[in-house]
Formats: sequence, structure tokens, C-alpha cells
Amino acid sequence: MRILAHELKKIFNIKTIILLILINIIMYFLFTEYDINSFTINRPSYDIYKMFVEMEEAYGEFMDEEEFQDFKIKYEEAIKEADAYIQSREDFKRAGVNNYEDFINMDRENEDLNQLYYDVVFDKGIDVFWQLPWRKEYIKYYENREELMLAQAANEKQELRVKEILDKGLETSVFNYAVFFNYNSLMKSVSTSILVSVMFIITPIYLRDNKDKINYLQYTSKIGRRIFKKKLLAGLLATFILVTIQFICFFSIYSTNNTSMFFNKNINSIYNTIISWYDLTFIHYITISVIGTYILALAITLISMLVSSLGQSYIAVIGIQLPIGFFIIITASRYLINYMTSISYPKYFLELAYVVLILISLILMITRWKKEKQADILY
Amino acid sequence: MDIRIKEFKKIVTSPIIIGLLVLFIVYNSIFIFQNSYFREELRVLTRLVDRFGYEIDDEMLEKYRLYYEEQLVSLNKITKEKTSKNYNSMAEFFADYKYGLEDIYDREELGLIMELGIMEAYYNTIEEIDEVYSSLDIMERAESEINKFQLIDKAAETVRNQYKAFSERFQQLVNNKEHKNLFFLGKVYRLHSILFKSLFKIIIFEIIILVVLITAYIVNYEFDNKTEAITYTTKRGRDLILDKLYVSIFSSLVVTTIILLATLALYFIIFDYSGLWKVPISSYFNTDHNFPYLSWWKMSFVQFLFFTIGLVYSITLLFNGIIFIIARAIKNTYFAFFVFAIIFGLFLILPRLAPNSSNTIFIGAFTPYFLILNPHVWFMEGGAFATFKYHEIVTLVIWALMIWVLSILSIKRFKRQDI
Repeated sequence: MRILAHELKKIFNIKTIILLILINIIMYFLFTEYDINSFTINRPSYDIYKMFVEMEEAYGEFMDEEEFQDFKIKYEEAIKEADAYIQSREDFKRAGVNNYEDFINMDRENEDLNQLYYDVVFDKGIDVFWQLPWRKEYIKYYENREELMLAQAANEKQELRVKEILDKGLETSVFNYAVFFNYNSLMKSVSTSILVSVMFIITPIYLRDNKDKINYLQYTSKIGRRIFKKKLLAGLLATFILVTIQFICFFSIYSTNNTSMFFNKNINSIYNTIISWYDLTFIHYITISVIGTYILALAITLISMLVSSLGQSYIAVIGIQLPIGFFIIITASRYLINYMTSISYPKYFLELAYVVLILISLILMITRWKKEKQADILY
Repeated sequence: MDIRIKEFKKIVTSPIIIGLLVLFIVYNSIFIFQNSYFREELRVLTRLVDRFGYEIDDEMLEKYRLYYEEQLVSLNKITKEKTSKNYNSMAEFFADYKYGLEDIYDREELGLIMELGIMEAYYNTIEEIDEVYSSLDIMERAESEINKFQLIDKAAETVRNQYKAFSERFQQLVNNKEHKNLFFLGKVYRLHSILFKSLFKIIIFEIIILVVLITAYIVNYEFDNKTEAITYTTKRGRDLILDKLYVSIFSSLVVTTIILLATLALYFIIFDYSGLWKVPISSYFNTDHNFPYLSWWKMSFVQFLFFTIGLVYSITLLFNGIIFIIARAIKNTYFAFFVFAIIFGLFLILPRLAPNSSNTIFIGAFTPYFLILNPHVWFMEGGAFATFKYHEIVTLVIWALMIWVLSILSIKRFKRQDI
């Protein structure tokens, strides 16, 4: 236990922690910050979000036919609101635009009319004009939902899955792509920051002692080569602590996005851009992506430790770690963390990929330990 | 001299540096091959330029048109035979056949069809040049850039002034007819983006990684190997640090040359630019997004290429100096590497703190870190932050001076430092 604590102290020394914080701050501002802010500022994602919050309050988990009729009524009401706004403005009257119908059919080639359009939609940014096209679009979505869902299936297996969703009626779930897409891209940048941080703290773990020839002392002491395992344990523990802290930080920032009302909504919604192999709710999806990141961090820890125990100098280790890290992070953000469990991947792709990743890194590290047990440290 | 060769040997015999060098070149080759699916089509333009030259004037256009019509007649002969139809243009022809061309025509005829289609695309682009350039308003571009970054007051005024200066150059460019030259159709092939935006950016990052590793490795070699107590107490003593600096510069230039040579050689073997080397880079055909590439000086493609390569070398030296100073101050190579990365990141995010009303917002643009992100608009109109006429040169000179002074201070300190 004492050795473990000392090893942990070595991993989390003060210089490392300072650099770690700086790395995370920079990665946050370079990659993550945009998505945190954009969600509540950018249009139309914010309008869609607001519309769905309203729907969630009124309809609950799913939108049935009756509630859909209400949704249509809301659309009519919104049109009336837009009409009232248009009629309240003198310049529209002069241009001969009397209601919303005229407004969308306006001849935008005409400079003056285009100016008016810009004024309402972009300069003043009147909410209802942003919402209306989406309300209309989503009414169409709901009416044609079976066709639209089936159109996304590219082969038989996917078609079966889509039919299953349609049977269960999951596609009417009150969940939208704005929230999901935002979470997905946030998760990609957050997992990248996490993997980079893990690589940064784990890589020196064996090298530090090997380079200073401290392992000669350690291996001839009473604890002997078992210290190799202790360091391994310390590394895994350090990763676990680090990833947990980073996730706590991330989710406390993410909570400002206010998406908790969608946590229990199914993600296989017609208004979303993913069709999953499983009946997941948003909170399930979040859990899966968190677990996925933990596994990736674990794998990258083991690989980093392997490189660390083999490397002779820092330069050599950095040189090896750069392509490995680059490869793992690119693969992760393209396939392993991105749209997890989507039917665009083969059904068991995700499970297999993660299992293979764990197995490879474990086997490599176990072989390394077996060799180290018998290695002649003086050549 | 001997000692420098020995230092150089440390790098050449390091398997990591060599390994990374090979890996990078392989990666670049894969990148080039992935983008090379249209290389056969490029030959059509090469042949056209052989026949007519690349300068577009009335005489050339007339010849071009005649040749095109001649070819169209021969196509019509074939189509009449096979489908008994006549076509006035290739657009008409392709409207008839969306699929199934292969079923009707044989290989040779397909070649002619493809060639004619491409000829017509170039011809149409030539016809639209005058219209595009007469409606091109540089000051409008300035306003849209100002809007994009929400600049106000003095900052906006600076951007306007830049563009005012640039519009003079734009007039000159149009008078010189630099835009009226045949070149690979940018809107279709995007070769300028592939070469100068993607490939050069990749190359620069690879070079920086190697330069950082080499310099940090060699500067801290004695400390990493616990030989500092021997080497720095000899007669030569701490002057060794100067040798190390020279060797690191030399090695950086060597790896830069190797990567550039290998990558660009492959690129120009895959994409045949023969006959087009002297086409001005500001040619309208080079445009691959919605705004043409407009250079500050009259430059041919090959000149632009060499200036870009020159700038890459200069930036290599700057980064060499930066990492030398960092590695000298931080003896742990591992931390030195990450401190370098962190400083890189800071230079990218700190300028965002500058208020959008004052000229301080432009300071962030005058760093090598900013420069390497936009290699495709070096020496050109490049948006709100990079349209200063001497942007690249000013950056280089300021940073070279700064790094020079800091290096001297760093070396002086090292000579008196407690090891």
C-alpha cells in the first residue's frame, strides 16, 4: 500500500499537475468551448431546443396522434403570431406583405424585400420566424415518419431494426438532434482531452526510474520485480482518478446546457439523426459514452506503460507515442465515441472493437510483465 | 569541426528520428494518392496549353473555339452513327446521358467525350471571367470579413485600410490580365487547397515535430545521459552548447529538405504541371472557394511555390530557436516537449482575449503559430488578419530578432549556470 501511495505521488507531482491543468485549459478553449457556448447561442439549434422543451412539458415522453393535433394547432398559433408581427410593421404594409404566407413567398431577388427579410430574421432575430420553418418541417416528419425512418435503412438487418422501432413506436419520442449532435461533438473533444492527459501522465511511469537506474535498486530490494506490478496498478489507479475528475469537471460545465429534461427520452426519435441498435434513452447513451471513454483511457494507459517500459529516452518514447496517440484518438473520435451503437455500423462492431482493444493492450502488458520477471537487467 | 560531426551522428543514428521521418513520408504519400483520382483528367488541360498557350486573349479564344467546334463535329459524326442525334454542346449531350455511356461507346470514343466535356468546362469558365471580375468588390470583401469577426472602431478601420491598399493592387492585377490565364480548374480539382492548404500544413507540422524532437534531444543529451559533469568540465566546456545549436539548425534543415523533396517530388510526378509553371498564381482558374486567390505581387505558380518553400525553411529556423530556448531552460526533455505544445496553444487562444475594437487584436496574427495555420494564403489576400502587405516578412523579422536576442541571453546564462 505504501509503495502504491509513493508511486501515485510520483505520477502526480506538482510540475505534472501544473502542466496537466494548462494542457486541459488550452484544449478546452481550442476544442470544447465552442460547443458549450454554441448550443445556447447558435440558431436554429437553440430554437429547436426551446421548441422541444415546450413539447416535453406538454406531451411527456412520446407524442401520440392526439398530441400531434395539438402540435399542429401550435403551428397555426405561431403563424398567427407571425402575422400579427408582420401587420404591426409599416414597412411590410408598404411592400405589400400582409401575412406570413406572403412573407415566405416574398421575391428575395428584390433588394428591398431581401433587406426586410434580413432585418426580421437576422438583425432582429424574431423567435417565431426561426421556429416556424422547423415546426412545419417537423409536422411533415411526423406525418411521413415511417417512410423517413425506413429510408435510412441500407440493408436487411437495418430494415428489421427500423421496423422494430416503428412497432414499438419509439420514433415519436420527444428528443431532437440539436441536443444529441451537441453532446456527441462535445464528447469527441472531451474524450480527446482525456486521452491526451492520460498519455501525458502515464508515459514517464517506468521510464523515469529506468533512466535514472533506480530499477536496479528496486529490483534487488525485498519487493523485487513485483514493483513492476505495483507501478502498473498505480498507473491504472491514476488514470481512473484523472478521468473521473475530468468527467466531473465536464459534466458540471455541461449541466449549464440544461438538457436534463431529455435524459429519459429515447434517442431513436424521428427528430434525431441516429438510429441505434438498442432502445437507449439519452441518459443511457451518456452512460455508454462515459464507459467507452473509461475503456479507451484504460487501453491507452496500458499501451503507454508498455512503451514507457521499453523506451530508453524521453525522445524515443515521445517519438513512439505521437503516432500511436494520433492513431488512437482519430479512430476513437471517428468510430468509437462518435454516434455509438448507430446502425450505420455493423451490429456488434462497437462491442467487438472495445473488447479487441482491451484484449490487445492486456495481452501486450502481460507478456511484458512475464518478460520483465526474467529479464537480465544488466544485459 | 569533429565534435559537430559527432553531435550530428547522435541524430542520424537515432532510430526514432529516422523512423518518424519515414512514417511521415509514407503518410504524405498516402495523402497524395488518395487525392489523385482525377490525375488523368488534368492531362486534357496540359494538351490544350501545348496547343494554345495559357494566356487568354481574343486570338487564342478564337482558336480555342474553332478547335472545340471541330472536335464537336467529329463527336457528332459518332453520335449520328450510333444514336442518330446531333448535339450543339456537351451540356446537351450529358443531359441526354446520365448513365450508361459505357454501353454505347467504346474506349476511344469515351476519351473524346471526356475531353470535350472538360474543354467545354474550361471554355465556359473563360467566358465568365469578365463578368465575375467586374462584380468583384474588394471593399465589400473587407466589410464581410469585418462582420465575420465582429470588428468595430479602430480594428475595423485597420482592416478597411488594408483592403484599400489591396484594391490598388487588384486594379493592377486586372490590368496585367493576371487573372486571364488557363490553369487547372480549381472549382473542380481544388489543387491549390490540396497542395498549399492541406499538404503544406501537414508538412509543416511534421517538420515542427521533428525539429522539436531533434533540438530537445541534442540540447539535453548530456543531461539525459548523465554526462554533463564530464562534457561541460572539459577544455571546450560550455561552448559545446553553441555547437549543439549549430548542429540542431543543420539537422533541422536536413530533415526539412528531405520531407519537402520527397513529398513535393511525388506530388509533381502524380500531378503533371508541365507547361503551367509560369502561370500567375492569381489566375481565376485557381479559385477553389467562392473568392479568387489574389496575390500581393505578380507571381507565377513556380515563384509562389518557391516563396512558400522559403517561408517554410524560415519558419523551421524560428521553431528551432524557440525550442532551443525552451529546452535550454527546462532540462527534462519530456516537459520541454509539452511546454512547447502549451506555448503553441497559448499563442492560439490568447489573441481571442483582445478587444475587438482595438488594434491589439492584430498582434496575434503576427506570430509563426498563426502563420503556419494558413499556408495557402501566404503573400495573398487572406482575410481580416492576414491581408497586411508585408505580413509574412514582418512576422519573420520580428520573431527572428526576438529569438536571436533570447538565444544569446540563454547561452550566456548557460555559461555561468550551476549545473
